[in-house]
Amino acid sequence: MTAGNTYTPITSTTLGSDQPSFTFSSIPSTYTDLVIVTNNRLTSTGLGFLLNINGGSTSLSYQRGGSDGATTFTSNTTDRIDITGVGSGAGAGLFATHILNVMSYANTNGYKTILFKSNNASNSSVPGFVIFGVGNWHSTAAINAITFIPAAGNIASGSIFTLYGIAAA
Amino acid sequence: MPILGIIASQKSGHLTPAASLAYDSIQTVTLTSAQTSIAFSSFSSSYKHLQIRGVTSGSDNTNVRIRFNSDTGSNYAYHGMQAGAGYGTTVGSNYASSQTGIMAFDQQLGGSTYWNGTIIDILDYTNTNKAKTIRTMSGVDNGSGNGFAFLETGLWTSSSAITAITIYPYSNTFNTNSTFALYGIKG
Repeated sequence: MTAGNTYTPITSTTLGSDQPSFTFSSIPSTYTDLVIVTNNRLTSTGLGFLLNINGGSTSLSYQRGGSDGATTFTSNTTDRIDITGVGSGAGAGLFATHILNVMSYANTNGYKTILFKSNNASNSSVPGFVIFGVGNWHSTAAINAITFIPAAGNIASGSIFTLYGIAAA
Repeated sequence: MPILGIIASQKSGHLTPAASLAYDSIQTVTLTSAQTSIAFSSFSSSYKHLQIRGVTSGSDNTNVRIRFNSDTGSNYAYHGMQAGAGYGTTVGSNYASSQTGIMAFDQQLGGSTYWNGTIIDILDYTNTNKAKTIRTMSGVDNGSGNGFAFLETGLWTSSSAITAITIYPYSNTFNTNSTFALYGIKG
């Protein structure tokens, strides 16, 4: 017995001007998992694109790996989750794509796991990249807010952030 | 239910009406005690693809495997990439053929609070003209600088339609509260 359609677009925003951050807030706890799809660009030349959870920037860590087309790399930290953006050095009009799966975000039995994939393509000397990784928020509290913050500069106008909810039977 | 809000600095976002996609929840299993495997069976053949989403931890540092239609023969293969602590500065890789199950993900280092997350896509699962291919994305981070992210692809060499799915730790058990949800995606 199926429970019917359970992959629901919750909200979507396209930035009309450069912004220092973007937040999904008051996220309802009625879903099992969240999926975030964002196509975005940073106004600085830096690539850091960090996550805060429930307004906080602590108790976060991540593992990730990827390739810039020339070499592969891995990293692990006990710092804020860095999904990596595309900066202004990549050339005009280039946007990065990120898909984040926030697993069991309202479950209070364990800490929260976020799977993410990031990529952009560049036709300039600035390389593109493909990244896959996992982040963790070390809290049993339900996630009700997720904030995207550039390590420097702003999120550029035209960036899109869409939030989906998946409800299990 | 609170109204979902948008904060983009001083900019107000907009809400879009909820709409439905062709993505159905079929069945969810949440363990109330430690188990050596979980299984889905008797699910509909009316979908194009299946997706399994899970959060798990285990009683042992082991990988987790998946097999179909209770086939325990050496009819599976997998390729994958791993990243994170323990893999130095470059992405690692794995490959094996003639396996008795596909290595879908690894749940080492999880423990009782740090859960492995995994998403398994099973493509064209009822097509009897091709062998079956899956892809997985998974990862676990234990908050102390250890963990890893996985991307895997797996093969079941049979052309039979998939009617049953078994997911099992290579050794020992899944912990209580491990959960898997099966979804059907329409074509």
